[in-house]
Amino acid sequence: MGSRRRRRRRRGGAGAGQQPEQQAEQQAQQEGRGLKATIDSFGGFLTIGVVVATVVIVAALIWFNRPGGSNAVGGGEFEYQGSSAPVDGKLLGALDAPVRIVAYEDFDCGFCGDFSRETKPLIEEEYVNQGIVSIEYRHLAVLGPDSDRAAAASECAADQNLFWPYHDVLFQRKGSTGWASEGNLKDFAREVAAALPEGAFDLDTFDSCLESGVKEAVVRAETEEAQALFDQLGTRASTPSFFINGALRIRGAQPIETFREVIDSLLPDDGG
Amino acid sequence: MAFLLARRRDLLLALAIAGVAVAGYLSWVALDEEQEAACSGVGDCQTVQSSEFAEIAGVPIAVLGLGMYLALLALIAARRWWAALRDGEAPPQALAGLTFALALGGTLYSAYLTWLELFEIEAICVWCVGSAVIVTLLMLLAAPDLRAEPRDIEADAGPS
Repeated sequence: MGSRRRRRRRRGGAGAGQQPEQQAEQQAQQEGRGLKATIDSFGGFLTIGVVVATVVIVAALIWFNRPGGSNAVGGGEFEYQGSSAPVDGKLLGALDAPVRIVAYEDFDCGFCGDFSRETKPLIEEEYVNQGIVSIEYRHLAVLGPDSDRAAAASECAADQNLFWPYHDVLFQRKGSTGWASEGNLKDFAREVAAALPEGAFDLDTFDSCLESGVKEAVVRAETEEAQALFDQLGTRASTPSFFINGALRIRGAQPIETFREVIDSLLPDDGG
Repeated sequence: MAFLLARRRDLLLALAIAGVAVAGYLSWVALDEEQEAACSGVGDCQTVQSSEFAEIAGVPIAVLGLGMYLALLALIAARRWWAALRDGEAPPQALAGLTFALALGGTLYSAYLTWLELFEIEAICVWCVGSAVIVTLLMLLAAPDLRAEPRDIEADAGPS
C-alpha cells in the first residue's frame, strides 16, 4: 500500500505540470477505477449478472402466468351457436321427442368435452332441431373439486334457463387443475352474457348463487343417484355414458356414426 | 432494528426455514387434490390455490416456491457454516450474490402474485401473503452481504 501511495504521490506531483492529454488519460483511468469500485460495491460482475438473470426469469414467469396468458383456460372469443330446439333447464329438445338421450357427464372430463364439442352439435343439427331427439344432461361429477364447482355453476346458470350456453363455455374453457375457480366460473358467465342478447343473463343472481354454494348439494345428490344407477346395472360409473330411451347404449366419446346407428334403430319408421 | 441487524444471520436462517415450511404446506395442498388449504377464516386460500394462476405449465407455483426456499436455505446455511467446514476460509462472495438474487426474484414474483390475488382472483391467501413477507425480509436481510467484507477491502488495499 505504501508503495502504491508513493506511486500515486509521484504521479500526482508530476500531474501538476502535465499536458491536457495526460490529464484526460489520468481522469479516464480514475473513472475506470470508480466504475470498478461501483461494480464491486454491488458484489461484482457475477452478482450483477445473476441479479439481471433473475429479473429476466421473473419477467418470463410473469409473462407465462399473465391474466389471459398461456396458463389460462381456453382461448379465443366464446361464440354461442344457439339452438332452434326448445330448452327446459338441462333438457335440450322437444319433450315428446321419440328418442331421449340422457348424458351422464363431468365438466372436468376430457372425453365429455370431445363429445360436447364434436358430436353433440351434429346430433343437434340432424336430430334435436327436427324434434326427433332430446338430450338431457345429468351430473356424474367424480373428478374432483373442478368437477364439483363447474357442475354447481352450471346449475346456477340452469336456474336462468341458460344451462346449455354455460355448458358450452365450460367445455370450451376447461383447462389444467384449478380451471374451475370461482373467479373463472364468474368470467365464463360474463362470456356467455356477452354472447347473448343484453340482459338475458342476470350476472348478479348467478354470482350470488355461485358464492352461496347452494347448488353443491344438488350436484352431489344427482351424482349419487347416477352412481346408484350404475351400481344397479353392475357396471362402473364412467363419463360420458349415454342412456338412450332408458338403456345404457353408448359409453365414451363415440363418433356421430355410433349415435346415428342407435338413434335410427329406435325410430318408429325403422321398426325400433 | 439494531437487534435485527445483530442477529441477521440467525434471522436469515430462521426465515428460510419458515419459507420452506409455508411453501411445503402449500405444495402439499396443491399436489393432493383431497386437501384444501386451511385459512382459519382469513381470506380464501382455496380460491387462490385453485385459480389458473396457481400453476405454470402444470407445475404448482407453491412447488416452485418450495424449490426457491430450499435453495435459499442451502445458500444461507453454506455461507453461515462455510468457515467452520472449510478450516476458517471466508465464504465466496458468490454465495451472497446468489442468495440476494434468488430472494429478489422471489420478492418480485410474490409482489406480482399479491397483485393477482387482489385484482384478478379477488381473494387473498394468508399463506401466500406470509410467503411474500418472508421472502421480502430475506431479500432485505441478505442485501448487506453484497458488500465485500471489511477484511476483503483491507486485503484489496494491501499492506500499508
